[in-house]
Amino acid sequence: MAEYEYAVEMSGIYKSFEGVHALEDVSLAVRPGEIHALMGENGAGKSTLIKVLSGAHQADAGTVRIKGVQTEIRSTRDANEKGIAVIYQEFALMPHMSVAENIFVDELNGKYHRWVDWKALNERAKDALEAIQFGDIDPRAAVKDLSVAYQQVVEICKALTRKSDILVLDEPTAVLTNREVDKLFELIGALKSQGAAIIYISHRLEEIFRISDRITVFKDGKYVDTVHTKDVNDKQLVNMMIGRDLASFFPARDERQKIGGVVLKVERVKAGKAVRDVSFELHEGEVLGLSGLVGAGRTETVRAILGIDALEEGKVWLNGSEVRLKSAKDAFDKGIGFLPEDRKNQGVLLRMQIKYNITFSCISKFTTFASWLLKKAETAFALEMREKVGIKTGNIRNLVSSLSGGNQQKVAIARILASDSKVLILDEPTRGVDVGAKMEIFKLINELIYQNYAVLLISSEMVEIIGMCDHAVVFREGRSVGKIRKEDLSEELLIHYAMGIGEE
Amino acid sequence: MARQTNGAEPPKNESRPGEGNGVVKILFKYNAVLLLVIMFIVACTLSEHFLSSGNLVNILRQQSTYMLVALGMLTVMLTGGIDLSVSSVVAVASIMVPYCLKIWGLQNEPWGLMVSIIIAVAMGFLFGAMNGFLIARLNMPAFIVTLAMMYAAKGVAYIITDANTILLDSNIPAVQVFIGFSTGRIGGIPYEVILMIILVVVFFFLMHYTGFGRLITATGSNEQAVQLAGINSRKYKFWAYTISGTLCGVAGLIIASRSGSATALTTQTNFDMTTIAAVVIGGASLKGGEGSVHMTVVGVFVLAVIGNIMNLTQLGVYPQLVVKAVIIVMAVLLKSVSSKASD
Repeated sequence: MAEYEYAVEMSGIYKSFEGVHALEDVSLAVRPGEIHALMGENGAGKSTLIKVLSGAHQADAGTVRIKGVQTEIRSTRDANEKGIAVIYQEFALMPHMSVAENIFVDELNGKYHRWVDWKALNERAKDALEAIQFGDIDPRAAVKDLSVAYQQVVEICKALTRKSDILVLDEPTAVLTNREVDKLFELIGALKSQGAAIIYISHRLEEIFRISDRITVFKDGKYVDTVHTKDVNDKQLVNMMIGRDLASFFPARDERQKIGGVVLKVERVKAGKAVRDVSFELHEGEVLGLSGLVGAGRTETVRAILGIDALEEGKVWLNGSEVRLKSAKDAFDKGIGFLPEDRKNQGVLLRMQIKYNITFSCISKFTTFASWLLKKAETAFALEMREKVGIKTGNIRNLVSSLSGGNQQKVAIARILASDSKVLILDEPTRGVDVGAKMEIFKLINELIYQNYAVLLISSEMVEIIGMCDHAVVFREGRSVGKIRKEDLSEELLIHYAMGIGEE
Repeated sequence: MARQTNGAEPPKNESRPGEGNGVVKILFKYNAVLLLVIMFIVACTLSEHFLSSGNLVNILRQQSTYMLVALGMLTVMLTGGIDLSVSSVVAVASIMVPYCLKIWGLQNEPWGLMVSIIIAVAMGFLFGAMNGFLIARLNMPAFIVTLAMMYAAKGVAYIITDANTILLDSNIPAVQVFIGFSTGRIGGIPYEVILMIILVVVFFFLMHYTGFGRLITATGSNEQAVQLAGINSRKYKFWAYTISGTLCGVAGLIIASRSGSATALTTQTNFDMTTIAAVVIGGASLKGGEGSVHMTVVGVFVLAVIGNIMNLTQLGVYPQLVVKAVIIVMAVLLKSVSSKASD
């Protein structure tokens, strides 16, 4: 078929962000005419590798060969020209423009023709769609009026008209119905028989067994193995994905911890598409972990409970009485502190001083008549909080943007501790934080537990859930599917619940 | 392969460019002060009249209205918004006093002047509150809302006056008191200037020494984070526009007092662009969360001194516009260069 064995051959790829290794000596080789699945937990490095392949990131070290030729991919445009197309979960389509315009968008800039021949454009789009058996899509229709599955087809069609023969599909079925999945798989199968190299990322094991030829597994940014799909079963695959040493990474908790009564109880909560049926109980003095794959509905659940997004069904009890929170302010007033997952956009005020960041949410503690600020008291308090959470800065008047990610996160934690909330919801508190700062945040959480705080910890890293939580609730596709006690916590169990294997 | 930085998570060094060199940092931060000093020196060399006490007091007097509007504009811009309706709102307020006094006949009532003044300021408050309601409560974009309010208020100004000038009769005691405000002085300092100084001081403390000011700034810095931290950021946005409207009302009083008449042509005064420019020259960010009262005062006077010196040297009106524009662009350029240097 071709004079080279691999369409894509990446070897020895290294990539780190802020000193944290995202990829360490990672390899991937994909043959033409093959569907190659990439597997691994959240944060195992799949997306980072794809971003290197697509030119969105540049590797720190390593070689990339495309169709046997060693190359450097400097930009996404570079990748396109080499025939690489990545179809992300969130499509790069222009919703208000037509299907044809989207497919041939790179020809609209006048580079090829000064005037656009709309009739020809629509006809070519029609031909391209028919070639992949989707002739029923009207090239004149606006993309936003198509179903999500058809939008995906448009995206694939766009890639194919650019002569892309290396196709990366990142969780393509996450938003599709079963029938749409079947149709998509047919299309992928057809592309495969035409000799395209397809890299397929998914958390759904059954899909991977259904369509892939080979599977490469990553763990913690490292390459584990590449296997032929027919040679493995799901249990073996899961075992490849887990099993790392926890060591003494997590600070042990001592006898000062006393688990008390239920402070937050959530029963059969439903909200939007992401939250379908969630129940859990949070006790005083414990860390309850919410585990699950990215997109399983954990953050959305919390937002619904707090009243940031609408809660459609279900009940929430806070300290024994039923509540229906209306907004973050309402939740805050009732004693729930919330640390959002997106630190830079939701957690801290980057362009303001560290001091102001710590005190702004409870500013009324430092004001007297006519809202007059007691600056000395405020400064003293901010200094005290700096010590308590261990923010490493010479001056609390520095801007938060001058701090490292870990210290920014500590500022945000200091802010929610500054108010008198006893129930803390921490959404991915260690994301984008280096190892040292992670340790410190864990220690801080332990300290809070000793002071009878109740902590709801959302984390996509299973080690964190295992190392930190007294209980864990596993989410799958908007449902709380498993409740696991500390003694029973294991990656295997978490992953089984999260992916839905071997359910009792 | 070279190490590359990634767009989402730029590498953080504890020491950053721009923080290293103290003098450069201060020059960048207070570039408006430098600009004002340069303008001042240029003004002194270009015209011997500039430093005369008469001229200086005149500048202060002229700037009192701009200063009040700029304080409101600063408050709005701290929240990350903008208020384009100021000129029209000032005009409506300036019309209300003569209108109440003459057309409604309040000039002959015992508390007539007081009531007229309250009505005028209340008009400003009302327009500001409408802006605030639409922007904060209904989440509409500030640019569009205040642009629409600019037209609405302009329309109201023409409707009330029927496009005529309402001329007050200076023989009536209430009118004399009213006009007296713009001519009276204490120790050589005009009332207007004293009012301006009081309001500048009040706003300085309001913005930098109260919880209210802190949360106004925080809202502009990152509204989403402020909201998720359990703060009703809408409240602060609402009050920012209401404050801006009210200050426009007070500025309107001064204008009416100066002329002793009311005309819808006041809507043509470009308070909007002048005050936005002054606030930005003073280092405020259009994105919100950045800006201070003292630097806004400097910004207002940078523009004032430029205008004054061009008048003294009898530069034509149209060249003046070009020179002003160049100065504004330069100041903002300096600001964007400096914020890049410290990013």
